[in-house]
Amino acid sequence: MIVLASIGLMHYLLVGAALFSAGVVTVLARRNAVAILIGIELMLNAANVNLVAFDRFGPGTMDGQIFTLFVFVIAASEAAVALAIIINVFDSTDRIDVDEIDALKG
Amino acid sequence: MSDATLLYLCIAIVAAPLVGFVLQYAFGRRLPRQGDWLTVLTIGVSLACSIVLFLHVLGQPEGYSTVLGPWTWLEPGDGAAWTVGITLDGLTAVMLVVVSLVAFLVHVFSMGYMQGDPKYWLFFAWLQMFSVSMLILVLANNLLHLFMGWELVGLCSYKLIGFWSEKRDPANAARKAFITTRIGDLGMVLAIMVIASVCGTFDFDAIFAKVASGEFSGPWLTAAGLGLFLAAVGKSAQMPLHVWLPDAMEGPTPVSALIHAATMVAAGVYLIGRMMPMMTPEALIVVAVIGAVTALMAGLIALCQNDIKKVLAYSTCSQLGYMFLGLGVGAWHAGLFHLTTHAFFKALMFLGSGSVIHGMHHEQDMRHMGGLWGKMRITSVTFLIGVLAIAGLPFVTSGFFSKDGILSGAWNAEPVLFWIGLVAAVLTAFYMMRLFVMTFMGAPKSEKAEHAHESPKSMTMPLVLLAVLAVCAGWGTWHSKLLSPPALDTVGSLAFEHVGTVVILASAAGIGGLLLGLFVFFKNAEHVPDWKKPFRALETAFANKFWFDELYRIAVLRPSYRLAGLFRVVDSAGVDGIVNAVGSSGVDSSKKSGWFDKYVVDGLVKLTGGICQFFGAGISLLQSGKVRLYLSLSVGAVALVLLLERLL
Amino acid sequence: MLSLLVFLPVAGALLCCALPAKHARSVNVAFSGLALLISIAVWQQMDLSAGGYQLQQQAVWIEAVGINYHVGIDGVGLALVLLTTFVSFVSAIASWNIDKLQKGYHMLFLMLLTGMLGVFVALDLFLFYVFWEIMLLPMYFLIGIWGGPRRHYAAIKFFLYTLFGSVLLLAAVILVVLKCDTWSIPQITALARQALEAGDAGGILGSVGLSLAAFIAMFIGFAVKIPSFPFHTWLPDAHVEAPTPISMILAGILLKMGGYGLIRIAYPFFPQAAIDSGLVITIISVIAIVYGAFVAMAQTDFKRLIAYSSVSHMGFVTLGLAAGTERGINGAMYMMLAHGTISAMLFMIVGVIYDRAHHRDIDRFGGLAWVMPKYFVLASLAFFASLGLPGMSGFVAEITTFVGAFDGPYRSWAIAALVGLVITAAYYLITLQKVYLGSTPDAYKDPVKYPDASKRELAVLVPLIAVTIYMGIIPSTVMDMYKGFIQTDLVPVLKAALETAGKAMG
Repeated sequence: MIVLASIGLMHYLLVGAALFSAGVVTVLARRNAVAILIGIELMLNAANVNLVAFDRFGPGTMDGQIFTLFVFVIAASEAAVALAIIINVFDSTDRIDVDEIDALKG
Repeated sequence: MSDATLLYLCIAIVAAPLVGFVLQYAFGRRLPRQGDWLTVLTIGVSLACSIVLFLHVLGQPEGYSTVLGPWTWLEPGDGAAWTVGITLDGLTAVMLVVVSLVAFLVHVFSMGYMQGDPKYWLFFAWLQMFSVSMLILVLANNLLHLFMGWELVGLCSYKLIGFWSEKRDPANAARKAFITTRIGDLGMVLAIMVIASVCGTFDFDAIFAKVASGEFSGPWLTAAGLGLFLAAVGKSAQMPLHVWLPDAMEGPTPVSALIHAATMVAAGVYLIGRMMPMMTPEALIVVAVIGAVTALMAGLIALCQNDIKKVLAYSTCSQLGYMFLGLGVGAWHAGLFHLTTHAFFKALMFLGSGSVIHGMHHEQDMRHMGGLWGKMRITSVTFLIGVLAIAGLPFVTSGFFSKDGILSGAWNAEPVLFWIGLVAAVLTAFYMMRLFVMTFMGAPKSEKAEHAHESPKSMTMPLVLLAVLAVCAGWGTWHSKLLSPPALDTVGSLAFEHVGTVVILASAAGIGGLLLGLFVFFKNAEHVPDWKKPFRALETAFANKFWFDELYRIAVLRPSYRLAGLFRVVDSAGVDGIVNAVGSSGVDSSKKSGWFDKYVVDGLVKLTGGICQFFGAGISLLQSGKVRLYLSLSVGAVALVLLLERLL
Repeated sequence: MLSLLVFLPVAGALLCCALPAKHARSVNVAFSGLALLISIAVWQQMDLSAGGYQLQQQAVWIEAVGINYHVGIDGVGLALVLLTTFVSFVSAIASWNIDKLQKGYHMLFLMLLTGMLGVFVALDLFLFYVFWEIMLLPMYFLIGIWGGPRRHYAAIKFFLYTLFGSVLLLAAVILVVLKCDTWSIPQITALARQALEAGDAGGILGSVGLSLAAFIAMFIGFAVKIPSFPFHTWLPDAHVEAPTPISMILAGILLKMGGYGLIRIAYPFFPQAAIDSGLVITIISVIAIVYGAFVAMAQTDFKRLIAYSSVSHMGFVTLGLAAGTERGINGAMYMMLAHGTISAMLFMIVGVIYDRAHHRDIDRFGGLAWVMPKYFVLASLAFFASLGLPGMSGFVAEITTFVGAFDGPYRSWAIAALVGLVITAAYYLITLQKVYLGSTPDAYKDPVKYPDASKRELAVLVPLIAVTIYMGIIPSTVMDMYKGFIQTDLVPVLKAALETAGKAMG
């Protein structure tokens, strides 16, 4: 019987792990570039959950929260860049399926 | 007069024409009458100041000499101070008057002669500068200062001889004059080097003091003296550097008058006269011999010239030879006195020939003249006076007094030189009479001669004045006071004297030459005289000027050009070639090392590359370009790492 | 102050970068002019009677090996700095009609100016060498990009020759520094003097042979720049190909660096070796004077002729130096300054006619005097200045050098050099006649194609001729500027060395 009141570190980690797994699966399974981007966002946020959790149960120096804020900023800018790339790729190739975009083949 | 007044006068003498030159050069073209009045005015100021100075010096006791300045110009090190300053003594005073007077008259004469020339204004500008240069030279109290005037004289002669340098011959003549005198200038530079090294100063008085005290003596002193004489030989057109003078007749006739009477050629005689105390006996022998030889040979050449100006040119050579003969045998006074009198009668004759040429519409060949006596009365009469003066008509003309002084000096020193001088005197009278008869007597020998006309007043007035001077300059004792020689022990007496025998012989020579000329030519004045047949070979030699020009062309000019051409080839093929050969031998060795490079070094490099390529080809399969493959691989790899960590 | 002077042109170069290309030439003229003004201000600030290096600035640069940023100036440096800024300024004006890649040209021009000024004020050997090399690169590009048809060949030749010289120079410098343990030029000079006064013939390197070797290496290094026979062949090629303003700078300033190097470094560092090799240097100089003049006479290319006349005239510099007398070295120095302005003028004269005719073949010209009278007056003034007419700077230089050389140990060689005077007169007058006198060929009669000198050209030539005449009439202003160093520092040392040499011989 799980006691709701005693939510501990483990619970947060489990949520984080779940989110991360979902992200990985999305990234690997989907072929739509936008979907892959969403998967990446999921993984980042999984990490955020973990960071906040560790801070809450750790030394309490607010380090984790600050890291998280940084991650938000980075995620935002990364999304902006990635979306710009995707739009440009789409514009020039008319495709959004990553399997079909293999111009970098060695 | 105080020193300050003298100084201002001297400065005015140089500054007036200098200002004239600058103004005329800059604005002359736009001035009314193209500025001839300006230049005549400035040279007139010079003349007036010169006369004042002349009278001042004449009023002083004999042997008067004063130095104004000197002012330091440059201190080039070793404690030496190079100065500029002014010497004022009898010699300077005489030269100042001669130069400014002749220059003034030439200016006036040119107003008529050069009328209508497109570069009328420019001609006057350079005449001014010519006078300035010569006046600087005459006033100098040290050798370096003198040398500056000397070189400027060279520049101006270049500009004026080549005044019509859009034509080929004047340009060549100007160049020849400059370069020939430049060869002489080497001697001057040599003398300057020696004097600077030994004396540390160029001041005449200081140099002479060192010579007198024996501090400056020996071979270097002789060398310096000969160097100076070389310079004088160049400037005064003595053998063997006389070749430029006849060619210089390409210049406008007033310029010839100026060059021959007052400026350029006079500079050489003046230089030796001025530097007399440092001429060693050995050097003086050379001076006397060269002078005598030139007097004779130039006289011979003059016999066979048909161009009126060329006759006068060789006559100048010959007369200058006289002056050097005088200086060389110690007749210092007579030599310089002859310079003065010669300036007057030679200026007279050159301007007279200018007047003839003007009247004949630029015809210079005497064979086409004749019969001008009635048509150009003033010119003819004044010219005749000039002829008599140069021939030395006894007891009247100035030429007699000065020439006699030189011959007396030669008589006392060395009879051989005297006889050479005497022969030259006969020759002078003879060819001058020939010139006069061919030009003025008999019947006109060409269309132009028949229509000849007398020149305007601006041209005849100078002739009259000069004719008066050509006669009167020898009268009185002014010259023995002003040209009192420096006291010297290197040569015997420098005093002026007339030896009885010489007076008789010289008179006979002059009159005899004139009469002979009259006899030979007047009789044949109708046609070109043919008296020379028996002396055909000699005549050829004279007419060809003893082949000096040809000799120089073969012995000096051609080798120089050849040498220059050779050096040019040497420079591009030799010097540059050697350097380039070093370079190309580098290329050569690099070709050999190239083989090694290509097969060994390069081989190794290529091998490495090949290996890399081989592996690269395999690995590049992984580079599929498929994003999902990459992601899968990385996730897989992370998982693998975690798994391994857990297992191990 | 000095640093400002040296680095101001760099600022100008940066400004060139920032502004549009059409303003580059204005920037160049403005900054060259500014440099000229500053150099005049430097002159005013200096107390020339005091002697020694003034307005010094020093900062540690590379501590580990004792290299300092050390600049200072004395009379010798000042005279050459003034020459540099002056000639650069007029050359900047002369550059006005360069139309290819203006931005780059004017930038490089200003960089070059920095390098040249730096050489004349550096008191640290390393700094000196750095500036020496800095100057090389802009010159390479200026010839190689803006030059004539064979510019690549000329630029590479120039570069290789000077680099060859630089390498020898560097080797000698390193040798000296290793031995003396300082990079400071004044200190090494003082050490050399001490060694000599102590009677140590080996000098600063402690060995006669080593000193001689180092001196020869330095001499060659500088002689390439002068350029002395037989290292002179790069000069005609470089001049012929270089654009006019660059020729002016090359002849007017760059060649002077060789002479400056000898006066400032080679001679004071190795007085004994310098005196010992005096005869060789004298002979080389006489060959340069006479041979250069002869080769000039045979040229048909106007610019080549002027280039060879430079070889001939720069022979006077080494001639005066080799004599080791005060008058000789003063004359040599004066020759550098006189030649600096006169040769710049001569190259401009050639440039003017090349701009119009697009060829430089002397034999094809004629009668230009009647088409372009103003230009002819300036040209003949330049010619006569160069052949040593009194009243212009060349005369003072030649006479002083000759007197000094005659005063030295090699009298007869000085006399032999006199021949050069005649040949010089000959080739200048021949050229004057061929190009300007005589009748005008029809090709040159068109006043539209052959206009008289323009305002810009006059603005270049008139200041140059004015300075030349000023230096000829009142030479003491300039000579008093620099003779202090020669009188108190250089000649006594050389005299002492001469005595030592005499003892060794006796």
